[in-house]
Amino acid sequence: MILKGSFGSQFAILETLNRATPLIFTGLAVAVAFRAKFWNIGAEAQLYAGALMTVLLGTGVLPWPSFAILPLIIVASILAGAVVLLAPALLKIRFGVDEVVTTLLFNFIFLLFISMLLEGVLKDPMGMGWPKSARIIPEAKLPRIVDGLRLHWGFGLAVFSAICIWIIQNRSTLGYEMRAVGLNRDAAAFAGIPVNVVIVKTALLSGGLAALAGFSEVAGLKGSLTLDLSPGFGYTGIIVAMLALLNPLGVIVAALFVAGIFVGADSMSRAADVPTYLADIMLATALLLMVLAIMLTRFSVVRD
Amino acid sequence: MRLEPIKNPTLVRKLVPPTIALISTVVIASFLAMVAGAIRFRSLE
Repeated sequence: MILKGSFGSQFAILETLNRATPLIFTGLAVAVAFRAKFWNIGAEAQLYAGALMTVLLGTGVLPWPSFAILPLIIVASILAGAVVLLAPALLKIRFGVDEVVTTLLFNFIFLLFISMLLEGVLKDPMGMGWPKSARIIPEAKLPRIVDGLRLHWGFGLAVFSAICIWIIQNRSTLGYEMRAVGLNRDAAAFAGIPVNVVIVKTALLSGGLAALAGFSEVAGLKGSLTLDLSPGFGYTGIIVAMLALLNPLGVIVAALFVAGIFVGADSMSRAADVPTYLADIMLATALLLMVLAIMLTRFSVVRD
Repeated sequence: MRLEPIKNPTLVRKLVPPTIALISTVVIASFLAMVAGAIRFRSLE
């Protein structure tokens, strides 16, 4: 029933692809960071940083045509996400502060900051009192892949990003250094790899990828910034990355799987009167079993 | 019992546990859906 709800019709497939788009970005962000053993739990904050930058630049401040304003917003969003993750990275390499704590807590700080903006300077005067920003101009919107359907080019950008990250990780010096730092930090330092520089580069890349999720949601689907823009895409990105075994191309498949569960569970909820929370239970089960499976691929149980 | 690292895991060793994990997820989810009251073929009626 879940399969039918998520892949059983053209509408269902496009909804699944739409739901998978931000998950691919956040999954990639987590996969890149975790590969270098930089535990980025703050993809949610970086997502909102990208969304904030999209709204700041896309609501008419720059009345430019699409071909000029869209690349500018993409670059600005990437920078915003990168800057958000730069602080935890610097705290880690300078003072040894655990990035799990800083990135996790930064999610709450940044959401409250967004809330403050949406209740203040960014509040849409035409929004009937709701805490939402003004809508972005048509030039700042991502075009649809097929006219008349909801699927937008954010999905294409997500797939392109996954391919780029795969190339970086497997065919570049930076990717080699990231893997080396992730496998053994001390050995990497002994081999002459600048570990701290690699961690900062990884953080910038990871933050930029997560920010693209916010950009694609605002510019492709929602058109404005609200506090419920993300139903936990940042956290679900961790599940996606783990299911993909941190492989960038696997992230695409894992994101489609997770998005399929969400969309299918919505459909099943309507068709069979089952609570949609079943999707969360399924994902939690999948994550736990996958962590166990990953362990069993690397270790064998030996009786004493 | 203790865990011992495998130096060079085979392709089968790499693929079988994740596959079993995914299949187990589907089985558990189907069971939970039935416990929650789903009627499997209601949407086809």
